[in-house]
Amino acid sequence: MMKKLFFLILLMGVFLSAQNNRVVYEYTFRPDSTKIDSLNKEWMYLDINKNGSQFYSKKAFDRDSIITESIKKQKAAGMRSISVSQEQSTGNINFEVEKTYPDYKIFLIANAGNDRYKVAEDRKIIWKILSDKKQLQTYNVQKATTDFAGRNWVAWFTTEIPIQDGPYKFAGLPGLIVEIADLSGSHKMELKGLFKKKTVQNGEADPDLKDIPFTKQKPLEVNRKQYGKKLREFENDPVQGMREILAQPNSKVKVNINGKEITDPKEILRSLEENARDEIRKDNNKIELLP
Amino acid sequence: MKHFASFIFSVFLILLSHAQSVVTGKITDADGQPIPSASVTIEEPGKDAIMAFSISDSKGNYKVTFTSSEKNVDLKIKAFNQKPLFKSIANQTQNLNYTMDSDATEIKEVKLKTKLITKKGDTISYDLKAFESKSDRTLADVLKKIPGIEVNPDGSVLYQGEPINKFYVNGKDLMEGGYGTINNSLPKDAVQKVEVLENHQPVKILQDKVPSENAAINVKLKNSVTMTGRGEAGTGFADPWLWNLKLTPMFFGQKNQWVVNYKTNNNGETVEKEGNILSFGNRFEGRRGNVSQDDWLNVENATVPNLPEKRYLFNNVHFLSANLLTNPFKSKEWELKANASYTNNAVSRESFTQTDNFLNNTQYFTNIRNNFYTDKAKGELIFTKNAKKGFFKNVTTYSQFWNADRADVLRNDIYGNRNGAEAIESPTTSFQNSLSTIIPFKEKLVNLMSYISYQNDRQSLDISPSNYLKFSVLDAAGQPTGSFLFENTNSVRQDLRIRSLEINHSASLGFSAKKWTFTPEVGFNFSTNQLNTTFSTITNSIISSSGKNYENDLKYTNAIPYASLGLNYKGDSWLLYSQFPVNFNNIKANDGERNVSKKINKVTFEPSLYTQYSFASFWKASISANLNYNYGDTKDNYAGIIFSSPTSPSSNAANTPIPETISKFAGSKLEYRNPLNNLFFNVNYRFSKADRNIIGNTKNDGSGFILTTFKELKNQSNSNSVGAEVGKYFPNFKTNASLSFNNTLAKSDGLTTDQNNIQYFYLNKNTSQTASLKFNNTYFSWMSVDYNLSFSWNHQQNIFNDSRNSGFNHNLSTFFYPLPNNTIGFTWDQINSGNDLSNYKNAFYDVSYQYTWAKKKIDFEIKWLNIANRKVFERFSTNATYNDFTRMQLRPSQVMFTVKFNFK
Repeated sequence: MMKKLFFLILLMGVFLSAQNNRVVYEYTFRPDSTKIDSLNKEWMYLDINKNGSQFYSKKAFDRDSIITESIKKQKAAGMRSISVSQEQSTGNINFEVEKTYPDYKIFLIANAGNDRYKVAEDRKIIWKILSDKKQLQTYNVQKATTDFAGRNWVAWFTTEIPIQDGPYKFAGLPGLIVEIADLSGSHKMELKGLFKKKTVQNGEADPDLKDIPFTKQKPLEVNRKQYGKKLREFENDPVQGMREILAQPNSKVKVNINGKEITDPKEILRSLEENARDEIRKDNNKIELLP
Repeated sequence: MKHFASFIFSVFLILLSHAQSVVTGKITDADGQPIPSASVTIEEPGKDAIMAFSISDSKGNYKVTFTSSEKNVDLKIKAFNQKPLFKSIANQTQNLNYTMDSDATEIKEVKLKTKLITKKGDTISYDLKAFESKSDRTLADVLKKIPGIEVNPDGSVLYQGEPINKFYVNGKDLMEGGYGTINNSLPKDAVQKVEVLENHQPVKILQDKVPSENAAINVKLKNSVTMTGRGEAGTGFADPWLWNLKLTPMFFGQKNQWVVNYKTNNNGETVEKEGNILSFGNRFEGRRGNVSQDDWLNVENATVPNLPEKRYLFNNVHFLSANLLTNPFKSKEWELKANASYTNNAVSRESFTQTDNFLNNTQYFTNIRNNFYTDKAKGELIFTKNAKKGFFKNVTTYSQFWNADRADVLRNDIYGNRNGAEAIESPTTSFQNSLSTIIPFKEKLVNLMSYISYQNDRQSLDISPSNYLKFSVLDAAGQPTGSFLFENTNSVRQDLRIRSLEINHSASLGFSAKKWTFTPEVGFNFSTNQLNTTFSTITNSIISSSGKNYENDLKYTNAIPYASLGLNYKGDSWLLYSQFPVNFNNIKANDGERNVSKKINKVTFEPSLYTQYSFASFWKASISANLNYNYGDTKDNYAGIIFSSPTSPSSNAANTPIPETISKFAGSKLEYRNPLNNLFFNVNYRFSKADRNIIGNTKNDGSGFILTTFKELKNQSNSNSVGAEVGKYFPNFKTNASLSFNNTLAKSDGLTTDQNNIQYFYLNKNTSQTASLKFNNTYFSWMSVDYNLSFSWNHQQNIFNDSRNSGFNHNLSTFFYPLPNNTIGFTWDQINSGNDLSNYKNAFYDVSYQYTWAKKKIDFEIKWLNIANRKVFERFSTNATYNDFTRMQLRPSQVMFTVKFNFK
């Protein structure tokens, strides 16, 4: 009897711990389609647990946790001015994708201007399974294709891992997606690592960060149409968020642009707008051509 | 024909046999529970390639559709933690339910071939020789070539794609993050070596508690001294000749680092305040503050307009400061920073005021001309030990002032025309020491702090001639016997000395449980002041004291042991910040000569609270409240008359108790912000109330000279304020617009005595409204417009006065960007004020042009301020017992040409 019980507990243990897995993808993308050498690489995590998965950039996650930690410290220390240092470089990925199991609802969490949005995906990904097979890493994979958001994608999935998930919004194949790339060669995600995950949490917005600009906020739930409108507004006037911050009473902002420290709000906006326009121009090859 | 028909028929048959098969069913586990997310795949036998699949839904149902010519197909079911199922099924539409056995799914781990995180605590060092080429000029040029390092145009550095967290020069963090200038302008020849410190946590005691993913860069310099920095030089075309010079050179030696700052101008720019400490640092780093003089005595001051200082400041300032950082001992854990600054400033001011007094039904005019001379030296020594086992910081500050104020006053009142010359000499010596240390105690950190401050202020005010002063002479019973004090003397002198000692000690510790944080703290605050004052008349160079009613020898002590609990809660939608201190107040004031012997021992509970609730995505509601007790200070307890200003002597009777003020405050705010339709609004309400036991009685004989005595009488003041703001952003026009409105009703008790010695205890009611509009537009890429408009109305009501005044303010600023690197600015400020009878209008126009030489980072700027050459500012204002019309001197039209550049 005791033996049986022990076995049961052991099994339970395996069962529970086996639920959390982290898949590491290497995401290669070309933010500027006019420049062949603008290839960027970023490590992406796909964290899988019983109720769903999260797909996010390691770099952005690390940066957020450091900012959170530093703000927490500054606040705990009773400082009246909080300084947040944020480095912006092109192609930094700050979106996340959340999927819920078993209904496979897909949410994109991304910024448009100053605000963070949680956008429900309403387009179903229809896969076409082809008979091509090959070996990737140590897995036997099979080919599948789909059209999604203006791009043609080729995916390689393996039934050896019975998780019907994958990077970004891609999911719903009878096994984990090991590699997926678009036909133009602009975006490619490859599985580079897979292991059991020790820590289980990522990215609920921290209440400490409320009211502090530039930090990760609790996202606002919207539909795709609303988000698309916000994106267009942002591209039309990229510094609106900053203007709103500068209009707040008692806020002082100092920025360093090209080695010049600027405190005059007019000049800040002017310089930021130029910078943002430049970045929008360079970031012309987004993963979703039709968001 | 028949044949043809049968051919068609046979084709149809074949198609039929290749038609779709649909297999549906339900998958359950051994307990009969449905299994969701199981994949059901169909393969043709021997082909090992999926041709169709389905994934079971939350009820375990699946539906797979396929087309195959085979008789039988292979059906495979896989689910997480279930044993895979393989079945050969007939190629036909059917319903098949399956039960799976549970089994731990072992996922084959894939080890990363590339390193994700480098080893902790690694230091990699690079010799620049290997990377540099002839065309490289600065450190940034060379850094770019080092593997793993990227440099942005602003000089910020990325290591392995991530920003570095510290930029040290020779291991020292002089610049605290603003290292871009150094990186971009430090000549590469000065650099010997660059080190990359991976996973660097700068606060050592936190090193094993708070991990860091970021790297730091340390630049090791050669022996030669390096200089860099930024400068600005301007010249103005006006009378007198205007200048503005700012030089900020920096020196980096092997052992020491310096930043020197020299600023001088006479064009109305305040630069001496840059020596002030703007951020007081981390709480754990102890208490630091800006030292100021304890100003008891003042000359009559010219009024300043409510305009930016640059419009009215007549200055001639020199400000010099130097910062030095060094390691005094062999151990690198100890760091010494020394700062010294010296300010020399001469400011002049002039204003004319016409006052209509309702209480006495009199009118008087004053014209005040001031010269303020500031001489200030400050030295600061900061010792820091930033070690693994503890944190220690000691800050010692020494300041010395030699300030002098002058006033030349022309006065016309009920006594006729008079001239007064007033002069103050005020040397001050001040010393502070603050010590803070963090000691680890089990898992927690205990913070101990000690603060000691000693300050000695001497002030002497000379007023001549003495008949400039006109006051009612009071007899022993307080009845006026005449109106000329100090008659038959040449001049008068008020002398004052105050020595203040303040000592604070505290110990605190913080811990958290779930979403709660507790910060208990105990401490002891002690302060004592010794006040000595004399008042003398001078006749033919003979100084004679005016007696003990004009003297003070007061010792005031305040000892407060306290215990406090800080309680914070942070939930998803609720936030709470609260502080619960209990103070044990022990206050004593003694002046034997004037029979002052006051004492109070009281325990007070002074809680403060702030809570915020966020709901329905767009809404936020918050409430704050606090309760405070205040027992005054030395200024509320002296019994001998002090002329703190030539026009307003005052004293507190020896028999009044120590003043007690109980203040209550409550406020609430409701905010709505919807980024989807770009609309926001908020409404807020604030209420405050103060109860006092002492009130000041102002005696005005109608000439503007006011004698204040204090009396025990319960009195109150309260204020109610309601405000609302609504704003919207119009994305199609790139326009922001907002409207706000505020209404305040303030009531307070006042006590005043007129020239016939009649006392009035009255209620003063002040209602004020402001409405404002803000607008900005950036629709055109070559132009931006900002426009602010505000109206204010004020209604003053009491037994003497029922009057209204209003104000109007607008500010237009537009910028044009005709070509890249060229900016033209134009602003129009209009400030009007008045009442129903008269209106005063002040308009200002400024134009500026800036050209940026982007490659060399040099800016050229021409600025023409006050084009209309307005020389005075006019304002009307209403008070409880009088109206004022004031005319203040302004800087005339001026043109400045400025160049801003980097040092190489």
